Amino acid sequence: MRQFEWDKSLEELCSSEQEVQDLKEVASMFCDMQKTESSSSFRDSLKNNLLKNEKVLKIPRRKLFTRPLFATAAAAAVLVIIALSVFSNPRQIDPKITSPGDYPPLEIAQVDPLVSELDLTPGGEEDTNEQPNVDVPGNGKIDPVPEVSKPKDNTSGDPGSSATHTPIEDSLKEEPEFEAWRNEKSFKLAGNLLLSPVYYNVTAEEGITPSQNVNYNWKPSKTVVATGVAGETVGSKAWARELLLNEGFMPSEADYLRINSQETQKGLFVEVFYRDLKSSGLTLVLHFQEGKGILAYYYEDMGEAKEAGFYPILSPSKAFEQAKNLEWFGPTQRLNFSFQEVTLTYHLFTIEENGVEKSIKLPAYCFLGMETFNNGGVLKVYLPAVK
Amino acid sequence: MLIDEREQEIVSRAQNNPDSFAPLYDHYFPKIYNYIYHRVQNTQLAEDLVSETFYKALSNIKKFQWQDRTFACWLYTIARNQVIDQFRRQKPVLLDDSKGEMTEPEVNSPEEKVLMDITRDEILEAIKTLSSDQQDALLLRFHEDLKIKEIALVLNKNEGAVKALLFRGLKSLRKKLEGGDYHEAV
Repeated sequence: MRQFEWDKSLEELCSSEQEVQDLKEVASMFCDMQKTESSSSFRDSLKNNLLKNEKVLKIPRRKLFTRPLFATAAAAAVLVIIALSVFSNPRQIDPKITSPGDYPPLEIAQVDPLVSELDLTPGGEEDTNEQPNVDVPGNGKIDPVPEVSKPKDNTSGDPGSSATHTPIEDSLKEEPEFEAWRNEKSFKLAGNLLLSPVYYNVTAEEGITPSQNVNYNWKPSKTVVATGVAGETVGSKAWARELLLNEGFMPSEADYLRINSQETQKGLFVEVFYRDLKSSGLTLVLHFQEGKGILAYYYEDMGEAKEAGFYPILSPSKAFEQAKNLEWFGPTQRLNFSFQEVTLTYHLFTIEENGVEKSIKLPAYCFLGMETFNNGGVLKVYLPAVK
Repeated sequence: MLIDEREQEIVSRAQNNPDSFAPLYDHYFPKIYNYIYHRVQNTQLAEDLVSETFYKALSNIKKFQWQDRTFACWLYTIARNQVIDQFRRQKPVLLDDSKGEMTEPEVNSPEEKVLMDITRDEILEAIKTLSSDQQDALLLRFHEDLKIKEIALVLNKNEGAVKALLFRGLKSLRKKLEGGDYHEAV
Protein backbone atom coordinates (compact mmCIF):
# COMPACT_ATOMS: atom_id res chain seq x y z
CA MET A 1 0.00 0.00 0.00
CA ARG A 2 1.32 3.40 -0.93
CA GLN A 3 1.46 6.27 1.51
CA PHE A 4 -1.80 8.11 1.05
CA GLU A 5 -1.99 11.83 1.64
CA TRP A 6 -5.56 13.01 2.00
CA ASP A 7 -6.44 16.66 1.36
CA LYS A 8 -8.31 17.83 4.42
CA SER A 9 -9.63 20.80 2.50
CA LEU A 10 -11.79 18.48 0.39
CA GLU A 11 -13.78 17.62 3.49
CA GLU A 12 -15.33 21.08 3.42
CA LEU A 13 -17.24 20.02 0.35
CA CYS A 14 -18.59 16.86 1.94
CA SER A 15 -21.99 16.87 3.52
CA SER A 16 -21.34 14.17 6.09
CA GLU A 17 -18.61 12.20 7.77
CA GLN A 18 -19.79 9.18 5.81
CA GLU A 19 -19.18 11.02 2.56
CA VAL A 20 -15.69 11.95 3.74
CA GLN A 21 -14.97 8.29 4.42
CA ASP A 22 -16.41 7.25 1.07
CA LEU A 23 -14.23 9.70 -0.82
CA LYS A 24 -11.17 8.79 1.19
CA GLU A 25 -11.77 5.17 0.31
CA VAL A 26 -11.95 5.95 -3.41
CA ALA A 27 -8.91 8.20 -3.23
CA SER A 28 -7.00 5.48 -1.43
CA MET A 29 -7.94 2.97 -4.12
CA PHE A 30 -6.83 5.45 -6.73
CA CYS A 31 -3.49 5.83 -4.96
CA ASP A 32 -3.04 2.08 -4.78
CA MET A 33 -3.80 1.63 -8.46
CA GLN A 34 -0.78 0.11 -10.08
CA LYS A 35 1.54 2.39 -11.96
CA THR A 36 2.19 1.58 -15.58
CA GLU A 37 5.70 1.39 -16.88
CA SER A 38 6.79 1.48 -20.47
CA SER A 39 9.06 -1.10 -21.97
CA SER A 40 12.70 -0.41 -21.25
CA SER A 41 13.50 -0.66 -24.97
CA PHE A 42 11.13 2.20 -25.72
CA ARG A 43 12.43 4.27 -22.84
CA ASP A 44 16.06 3.77 -23.87
CA SER A 45 15.57 4.23 -27.59
CA LEU A 46 13.55 7.39 -27.04
CA LYS A 47 16.22 8.78 -24.78
CA ASN A 48 18.96 7.93 -27.19
CA ASN A 49 17.15 9.30 -30.21
CA LEU A 50 15.99 12.34 -28.35
CA LEU A 51 19.43 13.40 -27.24
CA LYS A 52 21.14 12.29 -30.39
CA ASN A 53 18.67 14.17 -32.53
CA GLU A 54 19.04 17.24 -30.41
CA LYS A 55 22.77 17.16 -30.77
CA VAL A 56 23.18 16.06 -34.35
CA LEU A 57 20.16 15.35 -36.44
CA LYS A 58 17.60 17.93 -35.39
CA ILE A 59 14.81 15.74 -36.73
CA PRO A 60 11.66 16.94 -35.07
CA ARG A 61 9.10 14.21 -35.52
CA ARG A 62 7.82 11.85 -32.93
CA LYS A 63 7.43 8.80 -35.13
CA LEU A 64 11.15 8.63 -35.41
CA PHE A 65 11.44 8.33 -31.69
CA THR A 66 8.54 6.13 -30.98
CA ARG A 67 8.75 2.77 -32.60
CA PRO A 68 11.83 0.62 -32.33
CA LEU A 69 11.25 -0.21 -36.00
CA PHE A 70 11.35 3.44 -36.97
CA ALA A 71 14.24 4.04 -34.64
CA THR A 72 16.18 1.22 -36.22
CA ALA A 73 15.35 2.42 -39.71
CA ALA A 74 16.36 5.92 -38.76
CA ALA A 75 19.56 4.67 -37.27
CA ALA A 76 20.25 2.70 -40.45
CA ALA A 77 19.59 5.79 -42.54
CA VAL A 78 21.94 7.76 -40.36
CA LEU A 79 24.54 5.05 -40.80
CA VAL A 80 24.28 5.27 -44.58
CA ILE A 81 24.57 9.04 -44.50
CA ILE A 82 27.51 8.87 -42.15
CA ALA A 83 29.20 6.21 -44.22
CA LEU A 84 28.85 8.40 -47.29
CA SER A 85 30.14 11.34 -45.30
CA VAL A 86 33.12 9.34 -44.10
CA PHE A 87 34.15 8.52 -47.61
CA SER A 88 33.54 11.96 -48.97
CA ASN A 89 34.88 14.06 -46.08
CA PRO A 90 36.10 12.25 -43.01
CA ARG A 91 36.71 15.43 -41.07
CA GLN A 92 32.99 16.07 -40.71
CA ILE A 93 32.21 12.95 -38.74
CA ASP A 94 30.70 13.30 -35.32
CA PRO A 95 32.39 10.56 -33.34
CA LYS A 96 29.33 10.19 -31.11
CA ILE A 97 27.28 8.68 -33.88
CA THR A 98 29.76 6.44 -35.56
CA SER A 99 28.17 3.38 -33.97
CA PRO A 100 24.45 3.93 -34.11
CA GLY A 101 23.57 0.25 -34.10
CA ASP A 102 23.55 0.13 -30.34
CA TYR A 103 22.44 2.75 -27.84
CA PRO A 104 25.11 3.22 -25.23
CA PRO A 105 23.88 4.89 -22.08
CA LEU A 106 24.69 8.53 -21.87
CA GLU A 107 27.45 9.17 -19.42
CA ILE A 108 25.75 12.17 -17.95
CA ALA A 109 22.79 10.10 -16.84
CA GLN A 110 25.04 7.75 -14.98
CA VAL A 111 27.54 9.97 -13.29
CA ASP A 112 25.94 13.32 -12.76
CA PRO A 113 26.23 13.87 -9.02
CA LEU A 114 23.13 15.98 -9.04
CA VAL A 115 21.12 13.08 -10.33
CA SER A 116 22.13 10.72 -7.64
CA GLU A 117 21.09 13.27 -5.08
CA LEU A 118 17.90 14.22 -6.80
CA ASP A 119 14.93 13.01 -4.89
CA LEU A 120 11.72 14.69 -5.79
CA THR A 121 9.34 12.21 -4.33
CA PRO A 122 6.62 14.27 -2.70
CA GLY A 123 6.44 12.02 0.30
CA GLY A 124 9.89 13.07 1.36
CA GLU A 125 9.47 16.65 0.40
CA GLU A 126 9.32 19.29 3.07
CA ASP A 127 8.24 22.08 0.82
CA THR A 128 7.40 25.28 2.55
CA ASN A 129 7.82 27.39 -0.52
CA GLU A 130 5.01 29.76 -1.25
CA GLN A 131 4.01 29.02 -4.79
CA PRO A 132 2.09 31.77 -6.49
CA ASN A 133 -1.42 30.90 -7.39
CA VAL A 134 -2.81 31.27 -10.87
CA ASP A 135 -6.44 32.17 -10.62
CA VAL A 136 -7.15 32.52 -14.29
CA PRO A 137 -9.86 30.06 -15.17
CA GLY A 138 -9.04 27.70 -18.03
CA ASN A 139 -10.35 28.85 -21.35
CA GLY A 140 -9.43 25.70 -23.14
CA LYS A 141 -6.79 27.42 -25.23
CA ILE A 142 -3.99 25.02 -25.63
CA ASP A 143 -0.52 26.40 -25.65
CA PRO A 144 1.78 23.67 -26.91
CA VAL A 145 4.61 25.04 -24.83
CA PRO A 146 3.39 26.59 -21.64
CA GLU A 147 4.96 29.86 -20.73
CA VAL A 148 5.47 30.72 -17.15
CA SER A 149 3.02 33.27 -15.93
CA LYS A 150 3.98 36.11 -13.64
CA PRO A 151 3.96 35.25 -9.99
CA LYS A 152 1.46 36.81 -7.69
CA ASP A 153 1.35 37.17 -3.99
CA ASN A 154 -0.30 34.29 -2.36
CA THR A 155 -0.19 33.47 1.25
CA SER A 156 -2.21 30.31 1.10
CA GLY A 157 -0.26 27.37 2.38
CA ASP A 158 0.10 23.83 1.31
CA PRO A 159 -3.32 22.58 0.32
CA GLY A 160 -2.51 19.27 1.89
CA SER A 161 -2.23 20.97 5.22
CA SER A 162 -5.40 21.73 7.10
CA ALA A 163 -3.80 24.56 9.03
CA THR A 164 -3.44 27.14 6.32
CA HIS A 165 -5.65 26.13 3.44
CA THR A 166 -8.09 28.55 1.93
CA PRO A 167 -11.70 27.51 2.54
CA ILE A 168 -13.16 26.37 -0.69
CA GLU A 169 -16.26 28.44 -0.14
CA ASP A 170 -14.10 31.51 -0.48
CA SER A 171 -12.97 30.63 -3.93
CA LEU A 172 -16.00 28.85 -5.36
CA LYS A 173 -19.41 30.33 -5.86
CA GLU A 174 -22.38 28.26 -4.91
CA GLU A 175 -24.28 29.09 -8.07
CA PRO A 176 -23.16 30.26 -11.49
CA GLU A 177 -23.43 33.95 -12.27
CA PHE A 178 -24.35 34.18 -15.91
CA GLU A 179 -23.90 37.47 -17.71
CA ALA A 180 -27.29 37.13 -19.39
CA TRP A 181 -29.02 37.06 -16.00
CA ARG A 182 -27.76 40.54 -15.19
CA ASN A 183 -29.86 42.05 -17.94
CA GLU A 184 -32.49 39.42 -18.53
CA LYS A 185 -35.72 40.62 -20.12
CA SER A 186 -38.92 38.93 -21.08
CA PHE A 187 -41.78 39.69 -23.34
CA LYS A 188 -45.18 38.28 -24.19
CA LEU A 189 -46.83 38.34 -27.56
CA ALA A 190 -50.06 40.32 -27.55
CA GLY A 191 -51.96 38.17 -30.01
CA ASN A 192 -51.69 34.98 -32.02
CA LEU A 193 -48.83 34.30 -34.36
CA LEU A 194 -49.89 33.43 -37.88
CA LEU A 195 -47.24 31.44 -39.67
CA SER A 196 -46.92 32.13 -43.38
CA PRO A 197 -47.30 29.22 -45.77
CA VAL A 198 -44.17 27.69 -47.23
CA TYR A 199 -43.81 27.85 -51.01
CA TYR A 200 -41.30 25.49 -52.54
CA ASN A 201 -40.61 26.05 -56.26
CA VAL A 202 -44.07 27.60 -56.68
CA THR A 203 -45.54 31.02 -55.96
CA ALA A 204 -48.70 32.05 -54.20
CA GLU A 205 -49.96 33.59 -57.45
CA GLU A 206 -50.13 30.20 -59.10
CA GLY A 207 -53.17 29.43 -56.96
CA ILE A 208 -52.31 25.81 -56.37
CA THR A 209 -53.59 23.70 -53.53
CA PRO A 210 -51.38 22.72 -50.61
CA SER A 211 -49.31 19.55 -50.99
CA GLN A 212 -50.94 16.77 -49.03
CA ASN A 213 -48.06 14.42 -48.45
CA VAL A 214 -45.30 16.46 -46.89
CA ASN A 215 -42.63 15.02 -44.66
CA TYR A 216 -39.94 17.03 -42.94
CA ASN A 217 -37.37 16.44 -40.28
CA TRP A 218 -34.74 18.36 -38.33
CA LYS A 219 -31.42 16.57 -38.26
CA PRO A 220 -28.60 18.93 -37.31
CA SER A 221 -25.16 17.90 -38.49
CA LYS A 222 -24.14 16.40 -35.19
CA THR A 223 -20.52 15.51 -34.75
CA VAL A 224 -20.00 14.40 -31.17
CA VAL A 225 -21.93 14.47 -27.96
CA ALA A 226 -20.64 17.55 -26.19
CA THR A 227 -20.96 16.40 -22.62
CA GLY A 228 -17.38 16.90 -21.71
CA VAL A 229 -16.93 13.22 -21.03
CA ALA A 230 -14.38 12.87 -23.79
CA GLY A 231 -13.08 14.82 -26.68
CA GLU A 232 -12.86 18.56 -26.39
CA THR A 233 -12.26 20.24 -23.09
CA VAL A 234 -15.45 21.76 -21.79
CA GLY A 235 -15.17 25.50 -22.05
CA SER A 236 -12.72 25.55 -24.94
CA LYS A 237 -13.55 27.18 -28.24
CA ALA A 238 -13.30 23.84 -30.01
CA TRP A 239 -15.80 22.42 -27.54
CA ALA A 240 -18.15 25.39 -28.02
CA ARG A 241 -18.05 24.90 -31.78
CA GLU A 242 -18.98 21.26 -31.33
CA LEU A 243 -21.81 22.24 -29.05
CA LEU A 244 -23.11 24.71 -31.64
CA LEU A 245 -22.70 22.20 -34.45
CA ASN A 246 -24.79 19.74 -32.49
CA GLU A 247 -27.50 22.35 -32.27
CA GLY A 248 -27.45 22.89 -36.04
CA PHE A 249 -25.37 26.06 -36.22
CA MET A 250 -22.39 26.21 -38.52
CA PRO A 251 -19.75 28.16 -36.60
CA SER A 252 -16.65 29.25 -38.46
CA GLU A 253 -13.38 30.77 -37.33
CA ALA A 254 -14.58 34.23 -38.34
CA ASP A 255 -17.71 34.08 -36.21
CA TYR A 256 -18.00 35.82 -32.88
CA LEU A 257 -17.53 33.32 -30.08
CA ARG A 258 -17.04 34.19 -26.44
CA ILE A 259 -16.97 31.70 -23.62
CA ASN A 260 -17.33 32.26 -19.93
CA SER A 261 -16.56 29.19 -17.80
CA GLN A 262 -17.32 29.05 -14.10
CA GLU A 263 -16.43 26.40 -11.58
CA THR A 264 -19.01 26.40 -8.82
CA GLN A 265 -19.86 24.17 -5.95
CA LYS A 266 -22.48 22.63 -8.21
CA GLY A 267 -20.04 21.89 -11.01
CA LEU A 268 -18.73 23.51 -14.13
CA PHE A 269 -21.01 25.97 -15.91
CA VAL A 270 -20.31 27.63 -19.23
CA GLU A 271 -21.95 30.59 -20.91
CA VAL A 272 -21.41 30.71 -24.66
CA PHE A 273 -22.00 33.82 -26.78
CA TYR A 274 -22.17 33.12 -30.49
CA ARG A 275 -22.96 35.30 -33.48
CA ASP A 276 -22.78 34.21 -37.09
CA LEU A 277 -20.96 37.08 -38.78
CA LYS A 278 -21.65 35.95 -42.33
CA SER A 279 -25.38 36.30 -42.08
CA SER A 280 -25.34 39.21 -39.60
CA GLY A 281 -27.23 37.02 -37.19
CA LEU A 282 -28.21 37.76 -33.66
CA THR A 283 -26.11 36.82 -30.68
CA LEU A 284 -27.15 33.46 -29.33
CA VAL A 285 -26.39 32.75 -25.69
CA LEU A 286 -26.24 29.21 -24.36
CA HIS A 287 -26.05 28.21 -20.73
CA PHE A 288 -24.38 24.86 -20.23
CA GLN A 289 -23.69 22.67 -17.23
CA GLU A 290 -21.12 19.93 -17.42
CA GLY A 291 -22.79 16.56 -17.22
CA LYS A 292 -26.25 18.00 -17.86
CA GLY A 293 -25.94 19.76 -21.19
CA ILE A 294 -27.60 22.97 -22.35
CA LEU A 295 -29.74 24.53 -19.65
CA ALA A 296 -31.14 27.56 -21.47
CA TYR A 297 -31.13 29.54 -24.70
CA TYR A 298 -31.15 33.34 -24.96
CA TYR A 299 -30.67 35.93 -27.65
CA GLU A 300 -29.27 39.39 -27.14
CA ASP A 301 -31.35 42.26 -28.43
CA MET A 302 -29.37 45.45 -28.90
CA GLY A 303 -32.53 47.53 -28.92
CA GLU A 304 -33.34 46.80 -32.53
CA ALA A 305 -36.61 44.99 -31.96
CA LYS A 306 -37.07 45.37 -28.23
CA GLU A 307 -35.49 46.90 -25.20
CA ALA A 308 -31.83 45.97 -25.07
CA GLY A 309 -31.13 42.87 -23.02
CA PHE A 310 -31.13 39.10 -23.05
CA TYR A 311 -34.38 37.32 -23.88
CA PRO A 312 -35.03 33.62 -23.33
CA ILE A 313 -35.79 31.75 -26.51
CA LEU A 314 -36.61 28.22 -27.62
CA SER A 315 -34.00 25.71 -28.68
CA PRO A 316 -33.85 25.11 -32.45
CA SER A 317 -35.36 21.65 -32.08
CA LYS A 318 -38.21 23.01 -29.96
CA ALA A 319 -38.82 25.83 -32.40
CA PHE A 320 -38.86 23.36 -35.26
CA GLU A 321 -41.86 21.62 -33.70
CA GLN A 322 -43.91 24.59 -34.93
CA ALA A 323 -43.40 23.29 -38.46
CA LYS A 324 -46.48 21.16 -37.91
CA ASN A 325 -48.54 24.36 -38.08
CA LEU A 326 -47.21 25.27 -41.52
CA GLU A 327 -49.02 24.90 -44.80
CA TRP A 328 -46.77 23.59 -47.54
CA PHE A 329 -47.11 24.30 -51.25
CA GLY A 330 -44.98 22.63 -53.90
CA PRO A 331 -44.98 21.41 -57.49
CA THR A 332 -45.94 17.90 -56.40
CA GLN A 333 -48.26 16.48 -53.80
CA ARG A 334 -45.45 14.51 -52.22
CA LEU A 335 -42.57 16.48 -50.72
CA ASN A 336 -39.82 15.40 -48.40
CA PHE A 337 -37.57 17.92 -46.64
CA SER A 338 -34.55 17.40 -44.50
CA PHE A 339 -33.31 20.38 -42.49
CA GLN A 340 -29.75 20.34 -41.18
CA GLU A 341 -28.61 23.90 -40.59
CA VAL A 342 -30.00 26.81 -38.65
CA THR A 343 -29.20 30.47 -38.07
CA LEU A 344 -30.65 32.89 -35.57
CA THR A 345 -31.93 36.09 -37.11
CA TYR A 346 -34.82 38.57 -37.13
CA HIS A 347 -37.89 37.86 -39.25
CA LEU A 348 -41.17 39.62 -39.82
CA PHE A 349 -44.09 37.56 -38.63
CA THR A 350 -47.79 38.30 -38.73
CA ILE A 351 -49.64 38.60 -35.47
CA GLU A 352 -53.41 38.78 -35.03
CA GLU A 353 -54.88 40.79 -32.22
CA ASN A 354 -58.62 41.40 -31.92
CA GLY A 355 -59.14 40.52 -35.56
CA VAL A 356 -56.43 42.90 -36.70
CA GLU A 357 -53.29 41.56 -38.35
CA LYS A 358 -50.01 43.35 -38.09
CA SER A 359 -46.35 42.62 -38.76
CA ILE A 360 -43.89 42.22 -35.94
CA LYS A 361 -40.17 41.70 -35.96
CA LEU A 362 -39.18 38.72 -33.87
CA PRO A 363 -36.11 36.59 -33.32
CA ALA A 364 -36.43 33.56 -35.52
CA TYR A 365 -34.60 30.45 -36.49
CA CYS A 366 -33.99 30.17 -40.19
CA PHE A 367 -33.85 26.45 -40.99
CA LEU A 368 -32.01 25.50 -44.14
CA GLY A 369 -33.26 22.30 -45.73
CA MET A 370 -33.21 20.27 -48.84
CA GLU A 371 -35.98 18.54 -50.72
CA THR A 372 -34.87 14.93 -50.85
CA PHE A 373 -37.66 13.22 -52.75
CA ASN A 374 -37.74 15.10 -56.05
CA ASN A 375 -34.99 17.40 -57.24
CA GLY A 376 -32.94 18.22 -54.16
CA GLY A 377 -33.77 21.91 -54.12
CA VAL A 378 -32.92 24.12 -51.16
CA LEU A 379 -35.54 25.64 -48.90
CA LYS A 380 -35.45 28.13 -46.03
CA VAL A 381 -38.12 28.10 -43.37
CA TYR A 382 -38.38 30.78 -40.69
CA LEU A 383 -39.91 29.80 -37.39
CA PRO A 384 -40.27 32.03 -34.31
CA ALA A 385 -37.67 31.50 -31.60
CA VAL A 386 -39.75 33.27 -28.95
CA LYS A 387 -40.99 31.38 -25.97
CA MET B 1 13.51 23.97 -1.09
CA LEU B 2 16.94 22.45 -1.42
CA ILE B 3 15.53 19.90 -3.82
CA ASP B 4 14.10 22.65 -5.95
CA GLU B 5 17.46 24.35 -6.04
CA ARG B 6 19.10 21.18 -7.22
CA GLU B 7 16.53 20.64 -9.86
CA GLN B 8 16.90 24.24 -10.87
CA GLU B 9 20.58 23.66 -11.37
CA ILE B 10 19.95 20.60 -13.51
CA VAL B 11 17.40 22.46 -15.59
CA SER B 12 19.79 25.34 -15.96
CA ARG B 13 22.46 22.97 -17.19
CA ALA B 14 20.05 21.42 -19.68
CA GLN B 15 19.15 24.86 -20.93
CA ASN B 16 22.78 25.49 -21.74
CA ASN B 17 23.68 22.02 -22.89
CA PRO B 18 21.15 19.52 -24.26
CA ASP B 19 23.32 16.64 -23.03
CA SER B 20 22.31 17.56 -19.54
CA PHE B 21 18.67 16.85 -20.31
CA ALA B 22 19.33 13.16 -19.68
CA PRO B 23 18.93 13.28 -15.90
CA LEU B 24 15.67 15.13 -16.22
CA TYR B 25 14.50 12.54 -18.70
CA ASP B 26 15.51 9.70 -16.42
CA HIS B 27 13.69 11.21 -13.49
CA TYR B 28 10.50 12.24 -15.23
CA PHE B 29 10.07 9.60 -17.90
CA PRO B 30 8.23 7.07 -15.66
CA LYS B 31 5.96 9.77 -14.25
CA ILE B 32 5.05 11.27 -17.59
CA TYR B 33 4.55 7.85 -19.15
CA ASN B 34 2.31 6.75 -16.30
CA TYR B 35 0.23 9.93 -16.49
CA ILE B 36 -0.18 9.82 -20.26
CA TYR B 37 -0.86 6.11 -20.32
CA HIS B 38 -3.71 6.45 -17.84
CA ARG B 39 -5.18 9.32 -19.83
CA VAL B 40 -5.20 7.54 -23.19
CA GLN B 41 -5.12 3.90 -22.01
CA ASN B 42 -3.33 2.79 -25.13
CA THR B 43 0.32 1.77 -25.16
CA GLN B 44 1.24 2.84 -28.68
CA LEU B 45 -0.50 6.16 -28.37
CA ALA B 46 1.04 6.73 -24.96
CA GLU B 47 4.48 6.13 -26.44
CA ASP B 48 3.79 8.60 -29.24
CA LEU B 49 2.61 11.26 -26.83
CA VAL B 50 5.46 10.67 -24.41
CA SER B 51 7.89 11.07 -27.30
CA GLU B 52 6.19 14.27 -28.36
CA THR B 53 6.21 15.57 -24.80
CA PHE B 54 9.91 15.06 -24.27
CA TYR B 55 10.78 16.32 -27.72
CA LYS B 56 8.87 19.54 -27.03
CA ALA B 57 10.35 19.85 -23.59
CA LEU B 58 13.86 19.46 -24.93
CA SER B 59 13.35 21.81 -27.84
CA ASN B 60 11.77 24.47 -25.67
CA ILE B 61 13.65 24.07 -22.46
CA LYS B 62 15.47 27.34 -23.09
CA LYS B 63 12.11 29.11 -22.90
CA PHE B 64 11.34 27.64 -19.52
CA GLN B 65 11.56 30.26 -16.81
CA TRP B 66 11.83 29.29 -13.21
CA GLN B 67 9.31 31.65 -11.75
CA ASP B 68 6.14 30.40 -10.25
CA ARG B 69 6.14 26.82 -11.38
CA THR B 70 8.39 23.85 -11.07
CA PHE B 71 9.89 22.01 -13.97
CA ALA B 72 7.52 19.14 -13.16
CA CYS B 73 4.49 21.41 -13.58
CA TRP B 74 5.86 22.64 -16.89
CA LEU B 75 6.46 19.11 -18.11
CA TYR B 76 3.03 17.84 -17.02
CA THR B 77 1.46 20.82 -18.77
CA ILE B 78 3.18 19.88 -22.01
CA ALA B 79 2.09 16.27 -21.53
CA ARG B 80 -1.49 17.31 -20.86
CA ASN B 81 -1.51 19.50 -23.94
CA GLN B 82 -0.37 16.54 -26.00
CA VAL B 83 -3.24 14.48 -24.63
CA ILE B 84 -5.77 17.22 -25.33
CA ASP B 85 -4.42 17.76 -28.83
CA GLN B 86 -4.66 14.04 -29.43
CA PHE B 87 -8.31 13.96 -28.40
CA ARG B 88 -8.91 16.89 -30.72
CA ARG B 89 -7.18 15.27 -33.63
CA GLN B 90 -8.90 11.98 -33.61
CA LYS B 91 -11.88 9.91 -32.66
CA PRO B 92 -11.89 8.08 -29.33
CA VAL B 93 -8.84 5.91 -28.96
CA LEU B 94 -9.06 2.17 -29.00
CA LEU B 95 -8.21 0.96 -25.58
CA ASP B 96 -5.59 -1.65 -25.15
CA ASP B 97 -5.80 -4.90 -23.39
CA SER B 98 -2.13 -5.04 -22.60
CA LYS B 99 -2.34 -2.32 -19.92
CA GLY B 100 1.37 -1.65 -20.35
CA GLU B 101 3.87 -3.13 -17.95
CA MET B 102 2.49 -2.65 -14.50
CA THR B 103 4.62 -2.38 -11.45
CA GLU B 104 3.71 -4.95 -8.88
CA PRO B 105 1.88 -3.51 -5.91
CA GLU B 106 2.63 -4.76 -2.46
CA VAL B 107 -0.03 -7.31 -1.74
CA ASN B 108 -0.20 -9.74 1.10
CA SER B 109 -2.42 -12.49 -0.17
CA PRO B 110 -3.73 -13.96 -3.43
CA GLU B 111 -7.20 -12.67 -2.53
CA GLU B 112 -5.83 -9.21 -2.13
CA LYS B 113 -4.08 -9.47 -5.49
CA VAL B 114 -7.32 -10.50 -7.20
CA LEU B 115 -9.11 -7.60 -5.55
CA MET B 116 -6.34 -5.25 -6.63
CA ASP B 117 -6.66 -6.39 -10.27
CA ILE B 118 -10.42 -6.11 -10.27
CA THR B 119 -10.25 -2.73 -8.67
CA ARG B 120 -7.70 -1.39 -11.13
CA ASP B 121 -9.76 -2.49 -14.13
CA GLU B 122 -12.86 -1.03 -12.62
CA ILE B 123 -11.17 2.21 -11.78
CA LEU B 124 -9.77 2.48 -15.29
CA GLU B 125 -13.25 1.94 -16.70
CA ALA B 126 -14.75 4.42 -14.30
CA ILE B 127 -12.07 7.02 -15.02
CA LYS B 128 -13.10 7.07 -18.66
CA THR B 129 -16.51 8.30 -17.72
CA LEU B 130 -15.17 11.38 -15.93
CA SER B 131 -14.62 14.71 -17.62
CA SER B 132 -11.20 15.40 -19.03
CA ASP B 133 -10.36 17.88 -16.27
CA GLN B 134 -11.54 15.53 -13.53
CA GLN B 135 -9.36 12.76 -14.94
CA ASP B 136 -6.38 15.08 -15.00
CA ALA B 137 -6.98 16.31 -11.48
CA LEU B 138 -7.39 12.82 -10.00
CA LEU B 139 -4.43 11.33 -11.84
CA LEU B 140 -2.13 14.19 -11.01
CA ARG B 141 -3.18 14.29 -7.37
CA PHE B 142 -3.55 10.67 -6.39
CA HIS B 143 -1.33 8.91 -8.90
CA GLU B 144 1.36 11.44 -9.62
CA ASP B 145 1.34 12.96 -6.12
CA LEU B 146 1.23 16.56 -7.27
CA LYS B 147 -0.06 19.05 -4.77
CA ILE B 148 -3.24 20.94 -5.42
CA LYS B 149 -1.41 24.17 -6.12
CA GLU B 150 0.78 22.37 -8.66
CA ILE B 151 -2.25 20.82 -10.32
CA ALA B 152 -3.81 24.26 -10.47
CA LEU B 153 -0.81 25.46 -12.45
CA VAL B 154 -0.91 22.49 -14.81
CA LEU B 155 -4.65 22.82 -15.43
CA ASN B 156 -4.53 26.63 -15.47
CA LYS B 157 -7.25 26.82 -12.84
CA ASN B 158 -7.36 28.17 -9.34
CA GLU B 159 -6.96 25.91 -6.35
CA GLY B 160 -10.65 26.06 -5.51
CA ALA B 161 -11.54 24.82 -8.95
CA VAL B 162 -9.07 21.95 -8.61
CA LYS B 163 -10.56 20.99 -5.25
CA ALA B 164 -13.98 21.02 -6.83
CA LEU B 165 -12.72 18.83 -9.66
CA LEU B 166 -11.21 16.39 -7.18
CA PHE B 167 -14.33 16.33 -5.05
CA ARG B 168 -16.67 15.78 -7.97
CA GLY B 169 -14.28 13.33 -9.60
CA LEU B 170 -14.02 11.20 -6.48
CA LYS B 171 -17.75 11.37 -5.97
CA SER B 172 -18.46 10.28 -9.52
CA LEU B 173 -15.88 7.55 -9.27
CA ARG B 174 -17.46 6.30 -6.07
CA LYS B 175 -20.85 6.25 -7.72
CA LYS B 176 -19.56 4.33 -10.73
CA LEU B 177 -17.74 1.82 -8.59
CA GLU B 178 -20.76 1.26 -6.38
CA GLY B 179 -22.55 -0.17 -9.36
CA GLY B 180 -19.70 -2.55 -10.24
CA ASP B 181 -18.07 -5.60 -8.82
CA TYR B 182 -15.92 -3.71 -6.40
CA HIS B 183 -18.36 -3.78 -3.54
CA GLU B 184 -19.21 -7.39 -4.09
CA ALA B 185 -15.52 -8.16 -3.95
CA VAL B 186 -15.09 -6.14 -0.80
